[in-house]
Amino acid sequence: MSLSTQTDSRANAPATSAEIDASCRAPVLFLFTSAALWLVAAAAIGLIASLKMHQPLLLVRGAELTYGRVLAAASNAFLFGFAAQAILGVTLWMLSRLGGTPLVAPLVALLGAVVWNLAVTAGVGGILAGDSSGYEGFEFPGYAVPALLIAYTFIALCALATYFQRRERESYVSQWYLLAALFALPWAYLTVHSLLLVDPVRGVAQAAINLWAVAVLREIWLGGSALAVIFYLVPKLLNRPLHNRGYALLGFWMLLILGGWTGLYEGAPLPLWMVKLGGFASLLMIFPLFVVAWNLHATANGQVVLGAECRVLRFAGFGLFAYLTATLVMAMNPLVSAALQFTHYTAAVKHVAFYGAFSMAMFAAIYHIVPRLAGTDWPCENPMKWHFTLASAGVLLVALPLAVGGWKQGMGLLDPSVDFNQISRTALMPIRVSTLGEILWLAGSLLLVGNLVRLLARRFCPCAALAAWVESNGGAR
Amino acid sequence: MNQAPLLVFGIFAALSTSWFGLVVWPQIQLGALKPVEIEETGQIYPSARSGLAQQGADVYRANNCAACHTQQVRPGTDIARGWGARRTVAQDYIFDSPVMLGSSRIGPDLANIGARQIDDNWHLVHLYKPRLVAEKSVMPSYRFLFTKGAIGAKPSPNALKLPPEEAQRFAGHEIVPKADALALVAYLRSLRSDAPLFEAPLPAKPKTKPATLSAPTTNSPAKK
Repeated sequence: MSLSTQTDSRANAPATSAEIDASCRAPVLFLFTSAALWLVAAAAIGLIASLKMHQPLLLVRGAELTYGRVLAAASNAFLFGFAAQAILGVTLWMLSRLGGTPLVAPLVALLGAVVWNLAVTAGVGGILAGDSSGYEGFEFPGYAVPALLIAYTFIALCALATYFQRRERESYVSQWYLLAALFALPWAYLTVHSLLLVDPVRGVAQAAINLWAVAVLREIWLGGSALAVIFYLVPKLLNRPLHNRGYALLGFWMLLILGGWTGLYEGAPLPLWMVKLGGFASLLMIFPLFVVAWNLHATANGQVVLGAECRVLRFAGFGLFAYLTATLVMAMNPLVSAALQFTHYTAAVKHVAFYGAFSMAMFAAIYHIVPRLAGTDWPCENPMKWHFTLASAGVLLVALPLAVGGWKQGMGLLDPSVDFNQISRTALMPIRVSTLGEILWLAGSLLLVGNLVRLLARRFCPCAALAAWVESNGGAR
Repeated sequence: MNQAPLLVFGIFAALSTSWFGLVVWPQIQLGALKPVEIEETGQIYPSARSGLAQQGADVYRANNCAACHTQQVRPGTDIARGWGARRTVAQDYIFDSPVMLGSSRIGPDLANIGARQIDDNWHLVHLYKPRLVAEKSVMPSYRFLFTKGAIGAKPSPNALKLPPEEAQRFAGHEIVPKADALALVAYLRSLRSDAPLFEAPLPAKPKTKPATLSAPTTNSPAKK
């Protein structure tokens, strides 16, 4: 691995897009396809969890499908099945493209991706079998984690080597966010694994570590990756330069420094200074949020981003606005947490962040990148259009009712004379509506898989494979 | 930020600020907490769980009960609701691993369920079919923790004592908790964080005898 990028970069001309895409093809298409399949799995398991919220007597015979296990399985399948692989695919491709250099050791990355899928399968299966670690967001049993981290190392080393060998000297904001995300996940998971699972620390220090790791995943890993995609696609598709690199830098460093502190909440059984500092950091998140929003606003320069004509930009625009909304609402958390912390309101905000912001941004990236790798356009625009409609309606139909239900729950909890059971039941109707949202989301996810399968089948069906390979090496796009 | 090593170092430095604050420092500040002697009673608090209750914590973890139940009492309305005599603090959790604070209250807080509900049969019936003891409860049934069988020559001593109308439906049969159900109930009974601590004293009761810890007999909030 060459560390002397500066001297090299002047000597080596950037590789052509076609060369770069050819080097990324196998690992990135594999990562995206398996990410989409895990997305469907997570949505299906999540739908069961959603149904069980208002049908408590559904599927109660076996321990495997009890609500707690199903919920944890769905969220881990989403995080490590879908999110991780989508992020890694985007990282490999974007670091290569923006660095102007072919991907280093694509077969190592592919091998890592295969092992990753096996590890995630073991982890999700382990949760359903009752081996959950008991730490929120990191419920994979201890035996699944080493394989997970080794697989990640394979892929991450390819990404890092590619970055260090880049031939474009000037680095771009998307590269910073992706590199930060590349480090954030293993750092958080290694901390959780070593200090909570292998040799657990004592007492609430565990909770502090868990809250930190969850915040790092949410703000820096998921949020940062979403911003990387948005900062890449918005200027690119609008054909405008990024407004201001300095502001982008400012927003980036503020997110990195503040992100990990935002998981704390008022009244947690932790030292007061920790809670107060966490609340303060949450409020400060307004600044990186504002810097990002203003930078992109100035970049767009009056052109439409939310509801744009271009389908890919439409996904990215929805992701951007969901990101801004979720971050703004989360920054306000210290003000409302006394009433709303443990209600469906928190779940609603998390849903906007994970599904509205992160997932939609990743869909934009997948729809943008896959045709370039396959060397052929999407067979038909309609399924993409329907995916957007179903996914955006799905996000809103989950988040809005849950926010309303959570608000009602919170108001009820404030009054000690209201019976607790009654409070839980006031949220039932919103939860029923949110099940509808989960169904729409599942349908949208199936469309994504269908789109991918159709495109890949058309491109790589055995009879045409040889011809396709030759043609694509000639550089179709 | 065009220097790759500088960027990587910067990312490490920025991430390590919150890592130091929330991973390393809690360990320095709280890692050495030990059980303390309660001044009023002379008891050591907290005491380690019995083996059965510890197994029950495993059942609680395996089924992710923390998805719906918190184990943390915050100052204010939580106490007014009867979920605890005082707020919970770090001292309360030193024997828990994993610490399952929970983040959602679809069900009530359980930090003091062992003080609120001391009837084992109530807990078992509630796990078997929550709506038998808590009207229109949204909690799922955990009937996989029980076996149902015909009553033999010698009825099982552990069999659930069901409410009369439900018992009639099961005439000739008995519902017997498996080991996991008994362990889980032992764990729930062990959950109480109401010892007066220096950092979290019990709220002073105006001009009465020293506060005695009364244990309400139901899971429903204390009536005012």
